[in-house]
Amino acid sequence: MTCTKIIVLILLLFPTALMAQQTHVLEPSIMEVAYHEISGKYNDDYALRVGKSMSQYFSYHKLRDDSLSSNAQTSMIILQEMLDEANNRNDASKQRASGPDHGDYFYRSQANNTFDTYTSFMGQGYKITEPIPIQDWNIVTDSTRQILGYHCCMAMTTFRGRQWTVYYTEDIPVPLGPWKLGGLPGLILFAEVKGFITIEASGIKTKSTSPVTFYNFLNKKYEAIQRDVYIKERSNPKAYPKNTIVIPQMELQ
Amino acid sequence: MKMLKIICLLIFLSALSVSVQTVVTGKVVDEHGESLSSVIIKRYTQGYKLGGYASSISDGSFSIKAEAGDSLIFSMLGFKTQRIAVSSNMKPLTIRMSDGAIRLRKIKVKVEVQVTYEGQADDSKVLDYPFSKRDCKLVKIVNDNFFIAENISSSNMQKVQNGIN
Repeated sequence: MTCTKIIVLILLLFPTALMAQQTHVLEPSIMEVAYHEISGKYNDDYALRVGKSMSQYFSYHKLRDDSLSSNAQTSMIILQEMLDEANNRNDASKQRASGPDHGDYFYRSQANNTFDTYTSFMGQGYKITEPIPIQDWNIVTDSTRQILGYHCCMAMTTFRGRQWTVYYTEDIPVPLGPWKLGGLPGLILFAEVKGFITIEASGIKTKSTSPVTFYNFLNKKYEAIQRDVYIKERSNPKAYPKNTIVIPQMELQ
Repeated sequence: MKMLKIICLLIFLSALSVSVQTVVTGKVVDEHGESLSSVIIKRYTQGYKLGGYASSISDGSFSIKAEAGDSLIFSMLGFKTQRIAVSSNMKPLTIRMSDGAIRLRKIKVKVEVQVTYEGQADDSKVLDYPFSKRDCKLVKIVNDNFFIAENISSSNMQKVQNGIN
């Protein structure tokens, strides 16, 4: 009994899972796709930055927030925006970007077959590492759409408790898409879960793109956590302070 | 009971003889022999229908089910698209992808006229100016390598091979 206590104590004293990696470049990118995300009353803009062996997905607004907040002077800009938002709840133009995965940074490494999610919950940073998620797509070739001038085909899947309908284009031979979606014979330019979220590409650039970069402007420490443990914790209503507006999660299971 | 077994066996054997599916395996590398991951491999049946797809994994290897007579298209952003015809007994392939400009959307390509409407053979000619400027109207995109275009001037519908990249 005492032995276990000691072991627990040792484990508590050395939180080996904690790590703080600074912002650093991972590899040059060849393309950057911007997506606009609408979920209920929330709006957000995302970047999918694609390199040869890695790609990343993150909110442009979250990146700006983190960047400005990392400096005492410029962090006042963010504070002012937050105040403006709180004081003008009915003014849509004053509302800051938000959504189900707003605060998350995603990194997909083809070489290691890993998909890392850097997220935070109640102030604590968490890192979830999983094998690259695979969706079992059902392609509907006769249902097509033009997005940003690209000819797109429809595909459907059920992924972690939600029914996704996407449109992808074979004109851009990249098996990626927003968030954890991918594995189709072309880039996903539109993704939707009816009644929950709509993600649509708003622009694509291939010239003078920023490199795929690990971002940690706030030098936050991320604790490694299992995906199921994290989802369970976030789904627990008791984990939130009273009267918190909880945004539904991307994954239900 | 025995009869049933024989019937089952016959059905099974007939099914075997119909499907001449093979699994095409291999590796995709770049010009320097380095393995390429995330290369999209699409299988087109003889009727130019998408019959399946796969992508290469981190060591560049791939495996895709196909039938003799199908075409496999290898594509990746920043590389020239490659096309391989599937035969019945294929050894593991090594696909060497050569660098190509990252070109999106604008289909400035060489277009080779293969077949004309209603089976009338036409001289193969190479049209090397942008598709939109030609006296043709796009009717239907069959896949990224084939589209059907209508020649406005002569009202001949043409099936055109579009050699992207």
